[in-house]
Amino acid sequence: MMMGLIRIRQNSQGGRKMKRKIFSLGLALVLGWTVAACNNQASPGGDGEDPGEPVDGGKVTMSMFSAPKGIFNPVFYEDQYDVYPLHYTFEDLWYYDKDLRLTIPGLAEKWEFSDDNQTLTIHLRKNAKWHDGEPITVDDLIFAWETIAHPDYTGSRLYMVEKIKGAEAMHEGEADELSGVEKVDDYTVKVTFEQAAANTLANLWATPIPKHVYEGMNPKEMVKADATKKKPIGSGPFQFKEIKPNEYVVLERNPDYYGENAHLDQIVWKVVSQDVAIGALENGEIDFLTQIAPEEFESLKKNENLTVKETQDFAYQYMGFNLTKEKLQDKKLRQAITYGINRKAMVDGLLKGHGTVLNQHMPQASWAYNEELKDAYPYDPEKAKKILKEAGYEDKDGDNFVEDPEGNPLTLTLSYPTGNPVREKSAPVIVQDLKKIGLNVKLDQPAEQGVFYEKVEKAEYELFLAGWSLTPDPDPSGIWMSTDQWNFPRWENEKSDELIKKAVLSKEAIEDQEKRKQIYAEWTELVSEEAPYVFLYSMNRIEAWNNRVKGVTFDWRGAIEDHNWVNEWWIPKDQQ
Amino acid sequence: MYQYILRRVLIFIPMLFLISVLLFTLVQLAPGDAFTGQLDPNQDARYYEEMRERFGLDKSPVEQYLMWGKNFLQGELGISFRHKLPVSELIGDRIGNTIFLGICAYILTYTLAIPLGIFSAQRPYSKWDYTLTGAAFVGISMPSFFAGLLLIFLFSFTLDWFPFSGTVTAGAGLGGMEAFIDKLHHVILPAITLSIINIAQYTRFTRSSVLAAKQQDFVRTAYAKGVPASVVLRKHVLRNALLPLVTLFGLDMGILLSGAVITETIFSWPGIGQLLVEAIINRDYPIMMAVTMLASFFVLLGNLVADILYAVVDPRIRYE
Repeated sequence: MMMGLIRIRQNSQGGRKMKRKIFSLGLALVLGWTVAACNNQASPGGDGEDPGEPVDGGKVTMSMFSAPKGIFNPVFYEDQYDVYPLHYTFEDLWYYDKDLRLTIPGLAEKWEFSDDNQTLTIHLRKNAKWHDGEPITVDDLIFAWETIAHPDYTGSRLYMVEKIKGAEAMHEGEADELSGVEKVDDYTVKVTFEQAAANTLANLWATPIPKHVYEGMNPKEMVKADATKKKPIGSGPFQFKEIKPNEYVVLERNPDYYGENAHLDQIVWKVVSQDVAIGALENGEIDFLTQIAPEEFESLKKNENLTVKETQDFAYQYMGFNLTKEKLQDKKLRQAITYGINRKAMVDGLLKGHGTVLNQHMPQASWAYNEELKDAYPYDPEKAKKILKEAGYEDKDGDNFVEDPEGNPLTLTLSYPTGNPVREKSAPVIVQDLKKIGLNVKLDQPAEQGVFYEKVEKAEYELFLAGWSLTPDPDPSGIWMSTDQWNFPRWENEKSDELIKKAVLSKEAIEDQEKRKQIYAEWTELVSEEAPYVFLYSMNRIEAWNNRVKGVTFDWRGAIEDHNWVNEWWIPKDQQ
Repeated sequence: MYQYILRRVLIFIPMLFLISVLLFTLVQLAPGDAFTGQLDPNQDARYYEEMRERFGLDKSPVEQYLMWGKNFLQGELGISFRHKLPVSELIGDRIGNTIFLGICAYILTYTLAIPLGIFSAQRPYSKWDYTLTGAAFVGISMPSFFAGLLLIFLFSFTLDWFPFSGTVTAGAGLGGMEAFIDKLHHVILPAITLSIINIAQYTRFTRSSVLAAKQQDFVRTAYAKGVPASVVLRKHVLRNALLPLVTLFGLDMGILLSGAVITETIFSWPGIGQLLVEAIINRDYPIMMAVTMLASFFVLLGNLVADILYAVVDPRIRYE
């Protein structure tokens, strides 16, 4: 299912399923342990040695830090832990490849756009079946779209059908179906969109749900239906065997999967509190652990029963400037501050090297990453001082802090939320660094998340620390357009808006990803020059698993997100 | 007596009302709401407005309170923002686990603390007494999250005797007696964690109470009459010494319910304590209100039960 997650603890979620940049600004953004790319290659499980031929059987145990909410339907779930079992039980039409492009066929055999790029024709494979044996047809896909567009749908995925013609009318209750959807035959459907866009595919809902199971129900009833809470019927390599609310979920092999059947008999997801999860992993009580803190990396690495991998996460931390404050409107000041913060030291010290310094909105793993900006703004306190001096910021009264060009004392306040230990530690470091270039920065009391983001939205802070978690599609709208609610710095720039729109809507960008990349390159350079943020760092996503599980693929989305070829996992007979 | 109980129960009403006002105010005073923390740039701001409207968050605090109060009186605890389910259902699903854990903790507390306390009091200032006193102080000073982790480390990770998460073995598909034993197996560590402080306190309490009773004149008289020591202990000493413990039993009711918050979180025990922690993190105020109201009710009820039990066991006390 291609959808975003409301993430509770993680900062990021690479993954095909995560279309949106969702940030639960809640713990998530925050607690996010994520960042820089170290290992982007798919790698077989185990380290090095040849594991032999896959055999069937065995059970893998996964952990969740809190209980799933029990809404096991891709259209309705909101919780991070509801989606984990859904990854393996519901198939998408298509999946991302290792270059973050949607090219791998899932339930769709092939798909093509019309010449004007406004109509998409999707051909479903004919041999896929629901877990109850019914064939999967385009009716199931249309049903999913119409459920989301239904006026009674209260979930958060409306934006994933919104671009289809007629979605707005249906959502407003003016139409009973989507006018832009045309069923050609049981396995072919034509969808027309309001306008052509480069990220149509990435933003289109792509997970069918079984129409025959939910037939006749209104979305409000669907959320509560037994088919959602007790016995979901899916399409993936695994099917639901048992759901014990608030405790665990047991999946078993789907013997009628259209692809190669899974080797494992069962996958169990159980709740293990975060405090004991590492111990449980080392002890073999659970087989996989994600969201591992950088401090744990070395000690886990020493455990020879475990494979530990890291990859750059699609999330980053930044320090925002509130541009509605007059004193922050000078771009020279913002650039000087960027030169004056030792971000490399943050990555080495606070992240123990498990991350990268960032100079742009695009993560390194993305095809839209701008190589040119790799080393923009190296740590250079002398240069920072020089820029300040040239812009008229000088220490005239001898208190070691510069005054603004009018000669008034300049004091800035840095605010940050609680919840992400690394970020909390970075705040005083920033204050110290800026002191070295003569800036007087006061550290605000850390604020609780909800409080913090409310104030950020109201543009009450001066400097603030926050983070974003991104989707594979690089479109930065939502947080970077002048009018966006989450444009926290309130950075208004016509050129930027124009580029963002052009990268998605222009014909050249739609037809050629290289062209789209060039537009983003221009955009990232503009952002870098204007410096409405100081991009701080991107933390690696660290995951570990027990070596008894073989055939694990680890790439930019980690090991367990998406279905990520879970059907290839296997356990040698003697370790089952 | 009945009049007294009736009067006390009636007092619950204004008290619960005041508690609810206070809780509601506290919740409202905190800036932000359940939706502030869920930003998603792909999502229209309209969605959040729609959600706030749907859950009545756009109304004034007074209106919101009245709405909540009206529903509460009709037995409707509201719909959780996060779970999108009736709060009564969420609590209903979990309260059984919390009560089960509470009862096990009670049983552990009384079966261990009273005998240990008596044992200690029988040999005051001996090596044994000092050892138990020392242990009790360790128990009292140990925060439950630490105790929980320590127990998990020792008995789950090192010795592998007990499981450390959940109430049953995942996917074992046990039935009948086996299922019950499995459940007992799971409850042991959390129950010990939850009761450790009480065991320690009650041991000390029993010890000093028994010691004090032993010095009473009637005890000396009993010995003088030639009553056997065991009978003196049972009939004269314990009957008097253990009276105050009965009170504690009542007072603990509310505390066990709310005190399970940390224990349930560490052991992933799906009870209402864990539900509350999650609700607080997510600012899911219908759950916060309902669970805290429930806990307040139990504290009040516990106090009442304590008073009544006191009158029942101590003929000197009469309520009018």
